[in-house]
Amino acid sequence: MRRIFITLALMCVCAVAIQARLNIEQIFNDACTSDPNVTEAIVTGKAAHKINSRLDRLAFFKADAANYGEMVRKLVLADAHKASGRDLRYSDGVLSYAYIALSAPEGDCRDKVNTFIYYVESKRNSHPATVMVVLLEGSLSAKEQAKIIESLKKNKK
Amino acid sequence: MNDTEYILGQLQLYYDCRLTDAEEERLRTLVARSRSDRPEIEEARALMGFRRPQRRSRRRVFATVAAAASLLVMLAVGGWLMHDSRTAPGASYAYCGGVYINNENEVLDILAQNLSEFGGDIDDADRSMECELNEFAEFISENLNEQ
Repeated sequence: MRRIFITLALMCVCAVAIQARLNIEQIFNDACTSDPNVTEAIVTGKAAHKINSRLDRLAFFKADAANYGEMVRKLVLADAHKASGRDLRYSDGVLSYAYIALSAPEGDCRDKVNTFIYYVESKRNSHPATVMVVLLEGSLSAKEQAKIIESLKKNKK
Repeated sequence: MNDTEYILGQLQLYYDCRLTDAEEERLRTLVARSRSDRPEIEEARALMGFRRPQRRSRRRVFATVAAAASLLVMLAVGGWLMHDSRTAPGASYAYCGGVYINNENEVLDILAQNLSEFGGDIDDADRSMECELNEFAEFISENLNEQ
């Protein structure tokens, strides 16, 4: 009986650990997408493999900084705590740029799922400030994920 | 005197070994049929073999709970795997201005357009960082020269 309970407890811990996903994923939900000021794009699975065979998921989020800035910054910083690599930049005491790598971005990562999160606050062109988040997930290296972004930028029509 | 009180009285006699075989048999029937949850009657039921020993019963309950919990864990893990992007058949969709778009090419266009803007902002952030580092380097070199 004790063995059964130990096994069950381990299974529960594993299940909870598996389900503890990224904090930033909260912005990719129905509540945000119903807002007309929000732009969101998600590519997963086979559709993502067409972009790069090692890419499992690519998600993009853009919204006005006034309404979403604080919330997004909190989520980004929460994920930055558990990151294996990060580049956080602040402007006037506010997070203006973040690059977060979760799991090992370098070395042999064929079987490892790495996640890369970019956050940037844009204050250009006299438009209202916006916050943008890009999330890439897959068995990618840091160089590969940067190439994916570059290749998609070039596809702009 | 109600049934429970009668049974309790008979039980006292039973424990004192003052019941005849016929009375004992009648008491066994009454205990088995009684709906009372008085501890004395519960104890008598266990003693007379009308109830499984407590330990065994608890084990059965634990086994049921364990089976239910295992099923829940398996369902949770299964559900998670079903929703995992790595095993999902693939989807591409976008919300732009509150409009849902599921055309793959349109989604990729939206991504390209926005990533271009995003790339420009990253370049700005890099330039800003470079300027600040240069200012810092100048400040350091000025201080070193003064020393």
